[in-house]
Amino acid sequence: MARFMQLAAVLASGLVALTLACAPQASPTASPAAPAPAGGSREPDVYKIGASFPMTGPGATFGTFFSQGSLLAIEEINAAGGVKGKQLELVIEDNKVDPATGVAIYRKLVEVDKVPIVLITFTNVGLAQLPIADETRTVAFTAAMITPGLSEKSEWIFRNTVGADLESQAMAKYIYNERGLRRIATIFQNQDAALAGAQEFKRAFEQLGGRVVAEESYDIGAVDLRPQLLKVRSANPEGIYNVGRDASMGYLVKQAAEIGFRVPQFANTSLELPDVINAAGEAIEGIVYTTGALDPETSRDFVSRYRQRWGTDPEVFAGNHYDAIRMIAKAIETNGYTAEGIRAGLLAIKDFPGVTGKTSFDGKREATKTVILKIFRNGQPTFLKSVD
Amino acid sequence: MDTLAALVLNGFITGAIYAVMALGFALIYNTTRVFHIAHGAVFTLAGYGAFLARALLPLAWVPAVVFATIAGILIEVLVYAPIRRRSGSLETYFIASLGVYFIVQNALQLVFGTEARQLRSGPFESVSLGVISVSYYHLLVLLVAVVAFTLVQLVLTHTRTGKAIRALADNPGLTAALGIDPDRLQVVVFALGSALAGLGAYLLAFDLGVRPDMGLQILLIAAISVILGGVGYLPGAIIGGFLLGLLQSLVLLPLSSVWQNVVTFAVLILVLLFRPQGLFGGRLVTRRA
Repeated sequence: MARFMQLAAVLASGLVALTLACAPQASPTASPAAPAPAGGSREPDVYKIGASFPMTGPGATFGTFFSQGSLLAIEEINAAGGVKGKQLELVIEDNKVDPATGVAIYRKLVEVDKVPIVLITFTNVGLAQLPIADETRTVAFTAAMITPGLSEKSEWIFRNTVGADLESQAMAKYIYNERGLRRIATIFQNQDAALAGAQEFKRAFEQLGGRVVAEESYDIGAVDLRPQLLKVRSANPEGIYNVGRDASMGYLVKQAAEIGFRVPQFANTSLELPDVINAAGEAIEGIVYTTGALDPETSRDFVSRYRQRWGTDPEVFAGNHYDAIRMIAKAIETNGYTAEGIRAGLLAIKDFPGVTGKTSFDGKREATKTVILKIFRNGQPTFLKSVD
Repeated sequence: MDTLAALVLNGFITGAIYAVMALGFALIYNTTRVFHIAHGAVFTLAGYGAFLARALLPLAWVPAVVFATIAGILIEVLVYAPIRRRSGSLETYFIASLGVYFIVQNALQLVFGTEARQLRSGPFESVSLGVISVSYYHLLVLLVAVVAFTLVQLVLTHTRTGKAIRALADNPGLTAALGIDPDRLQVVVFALGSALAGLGAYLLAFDLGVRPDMGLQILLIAAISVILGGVGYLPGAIIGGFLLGLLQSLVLLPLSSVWQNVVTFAVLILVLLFRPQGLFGGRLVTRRA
C-alpha cells in the first residue's frame, strides 16, 4: 500500500510537472497600462512586421508555409528597394498553437518590437490575441484563420483567406446538388476551426434538405479513428465529411478503407497537406475537397520562385501570406507605417492582383475569395471546379 | 451488433500496443521503483529507428528494438544509476526522467522536424470476417503481442536471470544477500523493458508513422494501465492495457467521442479512489499489509 501511495504521489507530481513543462515560458507583464501607440511618431529605420506563427509543436507544418510565403515576399520587396526606401523585416515569434503563449508574444511584438501590425494564425491562438489588438490599437492580420464571424470579434482584424463557412457551404451544395447524396456523417477534429466547419456544413446541408446523420470528433494528435468510423457507419451515411487540420485526416481515409467502410469521402482544404497525403496513400483517390487556391494564371511565376527559394511547392496558405505581405507593403507605401495608416491603406485596396486571385477587402475587412473544389486523380490534386 | 463486434476487435488491437508498452513500464517500475517517464522517449527513439530503416521493412523491427534497448540501458547507466548511488529521492528520478524525455523529443524535432513521418503509405489489405472487416496487419499486431507476452513470461519463470528479476521486485535487500548483483540486474531489466517499448513503437510506427511527441501520450496510457491492472502484478499491466484499449473503443457506443479521453482519466480516478491497489493487485496488498 505504501508503495502504491508513493506511486500515486509521484504520478500526481508528474502531471503537475508535465503541465509546467508544457506551459509557455514567457508570461505577459502585469502592467499593460497605456502602451505607447505602436509605430509612434518617430520613423523607424526598418519597417518591422510582427508574426505569430506556430514554428514548433502540432502546427509546425503550417508555420513553415506561413513563414516561407511571408519571407519570400519580404525578400523580393527588399531586393527591389524596399518600401519608401526602407527595408521590411519580419519578426517571427513561435505561438506553439497555445493561446497563452500567443498573448505573451503579441504583447512582446507590440511593446518591445513596436510593430503596428501582427500576422496572426490558428483560431485558438488568434482569438486570444484579438482583445490585445483592440487594446493596443494594432492591426491583427490573418492569412490563415478560417473560423467564421471573425470581423465581429475586433475592429482591427483583417482576413486574407477563405473562411471555413465558405468552404463548408460550397461543399454542402456540391454534395447535395451534384452528387445527389442526402445522408452525410461528419467526422472532425475537436478544435475551433474544424468544429466551426462541421457545424456550418450541417447548417448549410440541412437547409438544402439533406441530413447529417452522425457527428463524431477526435482530439488533436489522434491516430486511431476506427472507433469513430465504426460508430458513424452504424448510422448508414451515404458519405463522410472529413474536417481536420493534420495527419489525422489521412488516418481517417486509410482506416476507413481498412475496415471496409467504402462510402465517398469529402474533405476541407487540409487534405492536400503532405502529412495527410502520405498517411492516406492510395485510399485518397477520388476524394473531393474544398480549398482556397493559388490562381493558376497569376501564381505560375510565384510557384517557380518559391520552389527555387525553398525547395518545395507552395501550398495555398503560403500564397495567402505572400499576398498579405505585399498588400501590407502597399498599405504602408500609401498611408504610412502606423496602425491607422495600414488599416486605411488595406481598406483602400481594390482588385489586388495576388497569387491567390484578385483580392479586395469588404466592409467586414474580409478578402473576397473564390472557393475551389479539387479531387485526387491518379494521386494528384486536380482542379474540379470553382464555386462563387 | 456488428458495430459492437468491430469495436471490441478494434479495442483489442489498440490495447495490444498499450499492453506491450505497459508491460515494459511495469517491469521497470516493479523492479527499480523508477517512474520511468523516459520510457516514452525510448518508444519515440525506437519509432525513428524504424523510420530510418524503413527501406528494410518489414525487418525494421530489428533496429527499432535495438535502438530501444540501447537507449534504455544508457538511460539507466548514465542517469538513474548515478542518482541511485547518491540515494536520490523518487522525485529526483522523476524529474531526471522527465528531463530525458524532453531532451529526446526536442532533439528529434530538430533533426526530423515536427510533422508526422510515414514508414509506408496507404491502407493495409483487409480480410472480411463475417460482418466485420480487419486488416491482416492488425491481426498480426495481436499475434505478435501475444507471442511477446509469452516470451517475457518464459524468461521470467524459466531463466535464472528471470527468477532473479522477480526476486528483486519482491525484495531488493534479499537479492543482494543471495549474491545477486542488483545493479547488473537493473540493467537487464531496463534492456528487457525497453525492448518491449521498441517492439510497441515498431508496431505503431509501421501503421501510423512517427512524430517527435508520439511517446508521451502512450507513456501516460501505459502508466494508467499499470495502475488499473495493479502495481506489482505484471499480468495486471497487460490486462490493464487491453482494458484501456477496449474502453476507448467501446465508450463510443453510448457516448459521443468527445468523452473518449474523459472516460480514460475518469476510470483512473475511480480506480484510485475505490480500488487503489488496482483491479488485480489485491494479492500484493494483502501480502504487504
